[in-house]
Amino acid sequence: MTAVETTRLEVQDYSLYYGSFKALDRVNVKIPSQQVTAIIGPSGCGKSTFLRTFNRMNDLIPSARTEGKVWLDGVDIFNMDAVDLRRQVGMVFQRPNPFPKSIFDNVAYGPRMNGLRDKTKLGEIVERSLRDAALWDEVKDDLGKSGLALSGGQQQRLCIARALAVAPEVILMDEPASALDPIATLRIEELIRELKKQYTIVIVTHNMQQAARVSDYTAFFYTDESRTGILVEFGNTKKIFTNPEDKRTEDYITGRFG
Amino acid sequence: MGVVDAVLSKTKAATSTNLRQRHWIQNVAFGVLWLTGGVVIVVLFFVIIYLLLQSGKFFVGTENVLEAVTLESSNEAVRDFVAANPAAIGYISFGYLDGTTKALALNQTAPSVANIANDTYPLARTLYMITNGEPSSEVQAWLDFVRSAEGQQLLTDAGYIALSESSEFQPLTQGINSELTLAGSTTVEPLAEQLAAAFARYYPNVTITVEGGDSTAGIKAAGKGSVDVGMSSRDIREVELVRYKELRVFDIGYDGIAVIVHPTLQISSLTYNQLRDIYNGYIDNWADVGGPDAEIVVVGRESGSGTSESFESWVMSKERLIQKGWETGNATMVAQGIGASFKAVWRFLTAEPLPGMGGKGGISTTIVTTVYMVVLTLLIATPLGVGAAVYLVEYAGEMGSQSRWMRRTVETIRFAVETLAGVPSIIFGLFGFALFVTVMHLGLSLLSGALAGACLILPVIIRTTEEALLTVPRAYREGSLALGATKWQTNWQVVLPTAMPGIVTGVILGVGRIVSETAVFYVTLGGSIHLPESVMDQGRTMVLHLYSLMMDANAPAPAMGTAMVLVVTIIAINLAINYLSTRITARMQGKAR
Repeated sequence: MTAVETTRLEVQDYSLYYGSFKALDRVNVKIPSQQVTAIIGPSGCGKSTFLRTFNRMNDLIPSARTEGKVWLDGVDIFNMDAVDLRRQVGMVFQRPNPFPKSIFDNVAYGPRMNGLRDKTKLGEIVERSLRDAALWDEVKDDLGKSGLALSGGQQQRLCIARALAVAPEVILMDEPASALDPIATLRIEELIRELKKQYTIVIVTHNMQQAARVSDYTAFFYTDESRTGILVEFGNTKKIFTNPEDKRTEDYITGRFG
Repeated sequence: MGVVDAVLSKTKAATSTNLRQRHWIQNVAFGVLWLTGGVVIVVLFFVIIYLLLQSGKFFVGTENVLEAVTLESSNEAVRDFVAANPAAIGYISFGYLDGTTKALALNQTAPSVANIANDTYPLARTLYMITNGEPSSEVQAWLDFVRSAEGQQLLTDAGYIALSESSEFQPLTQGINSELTLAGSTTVEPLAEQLAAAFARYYPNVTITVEGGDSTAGIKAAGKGSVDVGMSSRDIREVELVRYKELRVFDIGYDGIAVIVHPTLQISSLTYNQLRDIYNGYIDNWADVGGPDAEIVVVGRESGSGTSESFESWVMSKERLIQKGWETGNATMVAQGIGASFKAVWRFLTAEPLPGMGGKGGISTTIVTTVYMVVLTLLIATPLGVGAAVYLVEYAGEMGSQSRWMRRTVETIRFAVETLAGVPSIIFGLFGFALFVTVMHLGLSLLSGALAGACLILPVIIRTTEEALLTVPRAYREGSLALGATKWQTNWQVVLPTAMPGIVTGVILGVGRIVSETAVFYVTLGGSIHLPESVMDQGRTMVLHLYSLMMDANAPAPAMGTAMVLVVTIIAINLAINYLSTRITARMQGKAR
């Protein structure tokens, strides 16, 4: 772990409403650069909603409304163009969602949407992204095959490669292994540890062992009967798991609920 | 305890009966559904078989004689015309052959009585005399004389063919003193005159008047009783037997039909197919059949003529040729008939429809116009329909949750689309006529038709595209947006390609609607049989042509042919739907590339 950690994403007094319902209440957190930050918490506490804040996917929900500030490298993301933001903040979804296109076209999709037409450059990007996503060796001979023909774990790595291809700074992962078998999960976790050398990773997970295994920092979200999510505790993963400050964190970690 | 047991067992029995009954009802219900499906398939099957048979009859059957043929009203007139015209062709009874014209061999078989007898020259027919009711004794005496050995000898001498059996003539002991009138076929007329002269030797007091006309007139005159004996050189038709119930028909001999040309013409034989093509106008120069370069002057007979009917039913019908060839073991005839039938199909598909009420000619321009209409209509309706559906699904829904006004608008559009899908097509026709033809001054034209047709299929395309878009997983849209694609890019690159099988299905359904649409085009397209040269021209699709053949031209035979082409087209379109959608789906799922 580096001694001096820069902050990549900063969240200040951030609240989110769906219509009149308050889903997140005044979250404050600083996500460090080139580290893996895990977001854990019981179901319905707003983990995914919070994750989707960083690439403004919540914009797609017409009734969603936000308060507070979020900065990416010091720039207010709500003042950025959402398309520009999403090129800097990539995302991997819970269920693998490759497009019904060839493997090559899946990975080349992002660069192409950015206007890249050069075939050699596209080829380079596709190869590098697939290598970084540890999928290259398995698919290099059959890049024309449909992405849907791959296995679940391969599909998820394809989605990671697809996200890497647009060269983002941050990668958001929304329970990326929850639909996969244990072996595929392990490969994804190895990949995450590998990727943090270059990228800042924020991962939502249900699986506390996974959070303990892959993350450097952990944010624990919690909700009560109001269904409004709050950030209870944020800190070094080791500390959260061994010596949490908040009683609720401890209860959750030790498996008393959730 | 026995009572309780009894009640229990009764309940048990009742329950199991109920269950059994329910199964029974389910079986019946499914059985009915299954049967209904079966009936539908069987009906479709029979529709196709029926059309095949009918159109087959049309293509194998009698072909139309060209309209420009010179018509003469008697055998003699035809003979004299041909004798005077070096480029003419005609047909006459054997009895009129006198050396002024040349009789052609058919399929190298000479027109002779011997060849008719041995069944190699098939252009022969039976000659008849007809009376109304049982003949009177005088008429009976006349008929006996005609059919006697003496009468048959006269017939043979005149160039006709005698009945196989005849007996010695037994004149009546008491003389006849009356007048007999004969009328009808000009083929029989000269023979009847000779027979009358011979008959008069037995009965000097009888006056026999022989008049001409034609077979149809002769049968009619006999049936009405205006003559004593009618003469016919063709078979009596079903309708005539129904109309004149008392008709008595007597065969008096046989006659061959000779195809004649000018003696100087350097042609001695024609095939049946050549002869047919000369009479239906496909061959119009002697050079095409190995003769001199001269336009063929085609001579025929008036429509009541028995000779013309026998000739046409023989030469113009491929069916009869095949049948005769089959019966006599003549493979050439069979091959000619089958070849000519396929040629007739090809000609039907490639020839232009002819003007006039006969429904003659082919359907080539209507096929091309149908294709034009499909392309034009789709060019208008597909972008509009797909665009509208994309808007409704991808944009309006999102806006709808923000503004009540927007939501109302979308609901109204959906309601309108669904209602329009159920509006009878003639309403679209009326609307198209009022708006495009009249108000917009586009006139009756392909453009008006295509615009009205586009209104007709717009709901179909919007609905199917909407359904297809709704099945595109939300994850695809999110995945694309998360990669920094714009909404526009997402729609074009991910959503529409994924929805493509559904959209293609909708478009092909639209094609089917246009191909089979009658009402809309009936009032907007104008119905010209010519090939449209611009979108402002009038035109006629296959269905319109079919409608016109049935309702205006009263020509069911070519209508059946057109219907067959249409049904084949529709089946092809449906097969295309299946093939395309399974293929595209398979490619997307990665099962094939």
